[in-house]
Amino acid sequence: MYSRLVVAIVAVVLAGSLVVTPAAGATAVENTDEPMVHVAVDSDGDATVSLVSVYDLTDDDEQAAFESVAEDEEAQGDMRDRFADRMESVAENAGYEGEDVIDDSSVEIHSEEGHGVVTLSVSWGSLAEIDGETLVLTEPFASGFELDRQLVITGPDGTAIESASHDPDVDDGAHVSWDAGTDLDGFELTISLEDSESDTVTETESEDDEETADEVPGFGIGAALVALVAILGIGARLTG
Amino acid sequence: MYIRGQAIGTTAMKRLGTILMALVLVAALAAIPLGATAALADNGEDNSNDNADAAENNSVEPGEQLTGVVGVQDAEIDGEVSDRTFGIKVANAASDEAKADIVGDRLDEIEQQLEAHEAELEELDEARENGTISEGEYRAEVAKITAEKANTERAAEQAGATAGELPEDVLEERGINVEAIQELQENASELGGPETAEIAQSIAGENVGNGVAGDFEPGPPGGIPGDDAADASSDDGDDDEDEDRGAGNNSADQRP
Repeated sequence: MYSRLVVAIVAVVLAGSLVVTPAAGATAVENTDEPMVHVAVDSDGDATVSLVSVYDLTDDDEQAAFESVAEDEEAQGDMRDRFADRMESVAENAGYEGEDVIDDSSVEIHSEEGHGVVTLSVSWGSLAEIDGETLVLTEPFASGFELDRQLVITGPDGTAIESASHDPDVDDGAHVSWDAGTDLDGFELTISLEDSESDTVTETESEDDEETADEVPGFGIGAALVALVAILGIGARLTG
Repeated sequence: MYIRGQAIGTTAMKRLGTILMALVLVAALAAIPLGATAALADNGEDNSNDNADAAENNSVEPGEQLTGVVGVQDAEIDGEVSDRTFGIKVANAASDEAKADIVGDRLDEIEQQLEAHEAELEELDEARENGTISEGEYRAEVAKITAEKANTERAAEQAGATAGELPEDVLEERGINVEAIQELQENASELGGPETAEIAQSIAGENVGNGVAGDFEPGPPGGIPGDDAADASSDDGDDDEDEDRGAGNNSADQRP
């Protein structure tokens, strides 16, 4: 009786944890034919940073050459590794440390008639700082970064830009962007997490637990403690 | 007394065990966020130290370095595409004359690029001396030019290798001199001196401008070679891959 009850309660707790875990994970840049630096920030501050370069292919030979790169896994691997190493160096220079700060590097190459697109991406751990209910993004864009292409920043789903040190050229709710040539010295972007989708999901899935913290997947420590005390209490009654 | 005491002790021990287990679990759960906080705090301290070190040892701001990294990365991809484009053009050429024309066009581009690199480096030196740009901005730009310069150097090497396989009379008709091409390559290599290479390395690591490793044999697109082209594809393909990695005509213009 006791063991069945414990198993049942643990199963409920685990199932609940899985159901309400926010679907975190920065979204890589969508297919685009515009050169840009794209930053997709997650609710935990991690981000996917992508460098999108677009090349005009003026004749069949250039088109064929570009397509050969797109089919060459070894070459792509070399490009990807170099980009990851270099971004790691930038991260270290910006004060981030640890083996996993720069991770999950990738390269995507595709071409269409007349142009080719190369997208190099890395995952940058804790790129944005969590400050209460906000995410704050500064480096490496705040100190002498010269934009030769757009800077596009996408926040977690359902979030809103609370403030930006530099007026964006585009703010459509889903993302903000600054055009090439914008002086971003002292850049700081604050994203409000209050309306983020992870909160929405939590509230929808766990109607009785209105204060579930979105930084912690599942029920959180408090709920786990309650469950634990309940288990122990029931166990003590059954055995006592 | 002993037995009762034992009986009482057994019950007490069971309860005590339950309480202890609860305490241990609660403590373990409580330690998770504390540990995480401590780790974050440690990380924060480390980051502060790193910042201090970076400020001491490196005059390049993170944003300036990122600018350099973007420039180097673009230049390398551009060089790779250009390298392959040149190889395909030569492989598709149906005659020695056509190949020589491609080499001649390439040499014109190489000369223009060398002049541009030289002018850009001079301009950067002046700007640094005048204080118009910061040391970090200077280094980021030099890193990008170093990567472009490496493309030019390899382009000259590739053009020279291709020219070396062509009949002299065909080259002479077009004013192409293999030794002059080698001189262009040396000029590209020496432009800016060893300091530029060191600066580029400080921005983007050791392999700035090195050709991208890859598996590529140039050949006619669509696999419709003529006999000459097929031969050229095979021969030039091996040469291109083994010796001329990275050279090209830089004709795949990158969009700003």
